[in-house]
Amino acid sequence: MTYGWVLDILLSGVVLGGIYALMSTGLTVVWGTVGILNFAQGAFITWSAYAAWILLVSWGFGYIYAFPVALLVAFALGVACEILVFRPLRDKPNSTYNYIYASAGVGMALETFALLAFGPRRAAVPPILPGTTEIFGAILSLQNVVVILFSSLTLLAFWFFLKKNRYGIAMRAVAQDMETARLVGINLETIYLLTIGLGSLMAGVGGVLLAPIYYLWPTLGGIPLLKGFIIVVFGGLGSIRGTVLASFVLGLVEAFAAFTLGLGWALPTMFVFMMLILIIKPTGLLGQSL
Amino acid sequence: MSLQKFDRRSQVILLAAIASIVIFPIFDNPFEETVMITFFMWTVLAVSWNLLLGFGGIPAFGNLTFFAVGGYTSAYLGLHGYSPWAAILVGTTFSAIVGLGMGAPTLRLRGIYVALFTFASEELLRNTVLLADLVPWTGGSLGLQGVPHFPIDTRWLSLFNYYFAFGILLLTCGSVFLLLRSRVGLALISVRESELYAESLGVNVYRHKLLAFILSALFSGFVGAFYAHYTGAFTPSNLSFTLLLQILVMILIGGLGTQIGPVVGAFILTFLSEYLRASLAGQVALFRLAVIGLLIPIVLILFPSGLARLVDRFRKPLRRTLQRAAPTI
Repeated sequence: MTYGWVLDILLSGVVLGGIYALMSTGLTVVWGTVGILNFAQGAFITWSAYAAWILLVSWGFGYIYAFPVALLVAFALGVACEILVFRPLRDKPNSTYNYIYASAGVGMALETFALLAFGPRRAAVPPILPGTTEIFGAILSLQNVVVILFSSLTLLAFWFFLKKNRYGIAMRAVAQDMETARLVGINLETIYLLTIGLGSLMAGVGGVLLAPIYYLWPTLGGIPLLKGFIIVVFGGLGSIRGTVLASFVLGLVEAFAAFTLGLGWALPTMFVFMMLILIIKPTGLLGQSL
Repeated sequence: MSLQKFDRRSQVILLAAIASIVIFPIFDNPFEETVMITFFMWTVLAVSWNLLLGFGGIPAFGNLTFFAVGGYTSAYLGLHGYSPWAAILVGTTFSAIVGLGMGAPTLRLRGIYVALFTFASEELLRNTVLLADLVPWTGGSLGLQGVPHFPIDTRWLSLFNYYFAFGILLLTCGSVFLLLRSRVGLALISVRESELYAESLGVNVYRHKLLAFILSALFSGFVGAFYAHYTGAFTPSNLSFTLLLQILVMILIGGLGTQIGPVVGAFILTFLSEYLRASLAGQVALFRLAVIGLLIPIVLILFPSGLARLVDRFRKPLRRTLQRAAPTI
């Protein structure tokens, strides 16, 4: 008797968790530091994946070029959003909710543009590494190995950036206490710009890794965005460690739920879970008290 | 000015608007009549959502949940042999009960968590009605089709729909107007302005917010139930994020927290949207969604208080100019 299927589920749970961690870390960092719940991030994911797809399929470049360009697209979208939309709203009343409305509107516009540009058809994106490998009797596609590798590397790099880099430390300072951070000479506008850019970039990494696993279509980013919200609530809004932990827990839970209950039930179950968390412990796993 | 002051001129304009809506079907423009019915329905959704967002200061994102609960309940009952009247009654009541059930836990939360909770409720419902296992009850991605129309002679059916929808609109706007003039409405607004201060003056914050929630759910559910019997179908697209944003744009264009704002916003956006849909072919018609999406940041940045207050701002200088000009005439 083999336990290969258990390993299969564990592996696909870890793969999902890695991608979720990238996307929801982007959400949680932007919320924690800038105070924006970015509903446009799903569209950023879609557009960075399309950027990679155009370079790979239409222009025939390899991933060596496609990956950085896709990340640049995500970064640029985030920065453009901050400069054109979020910054003008910042000093007006009710800004927390205005950010949500505005980013949701921008997200819908970007998705519609993708639909008009590329049509509703699903495009297949070639994997970063084709082929499969066998680990302990479980068959694993090399793409999944790449996903695990890239997502953990990106998260580690971001962690070191936050701990060691001047700007990373400044980002944490702003998240902790905006007023005091400004008092010691941190330029808030720069930090906001950088945070949104980097948050979008991490989501972009997630998008490029996700597209070859699923297909690519204009609303690719929609469901990851929803799951991102569930995860940041579970992990505690603004807590990066909590978010990463919650990503892997939810990735594993989803893999098991899809295996036992059927694929369709995963999302409704997760939303019930999210609502329960909000009622019982709104601060999530590792969030600060309200 | 959160409570609209009704001076003589506003009364005249309002009565003229109502009268022209009432006599409009005489001119027999089938296309415009359907657009008007759409306008009535979206207005009810916008006004009832604005009661929470604008007057209650509750960042609720789940009003389509109520719309869909009313719609799906009424459509299901209608398909199983109940008369549309009974189905609408049950659908509306059920929606109000869901509003109570959802409001009770939501309103214990604060700020962004309210937005997330209500948004999750809507996504939960959308993903549940899409489940393959529930197709016999919800119809899956096709929704419930073939819901019986109102048992009215076909000659009068479209006219009936028109006046029924207008009736729901009048009921909703009238109730909101009366509510906001009452003690309860004033208390609700005081809660929006400062929860702590309102509480210190003896306002039961929780109860007032809950009342707003139930009323909002009631009207949204009512129009949902009407929608099911009017169009003969209720589908998951009525729970889509796109529709949610369209209603939001109506509120923001007109003016958040004003009584006439969402009505004006709904009127502008419905006609703009329907004419664009009719004149642009196929894929290009989707372009209107991009326009609507980009309208949100544009309105928020350039006219943060919407058209209703823009008019207020221009009215005073205008009157002054007129008075100055008057003697020379």
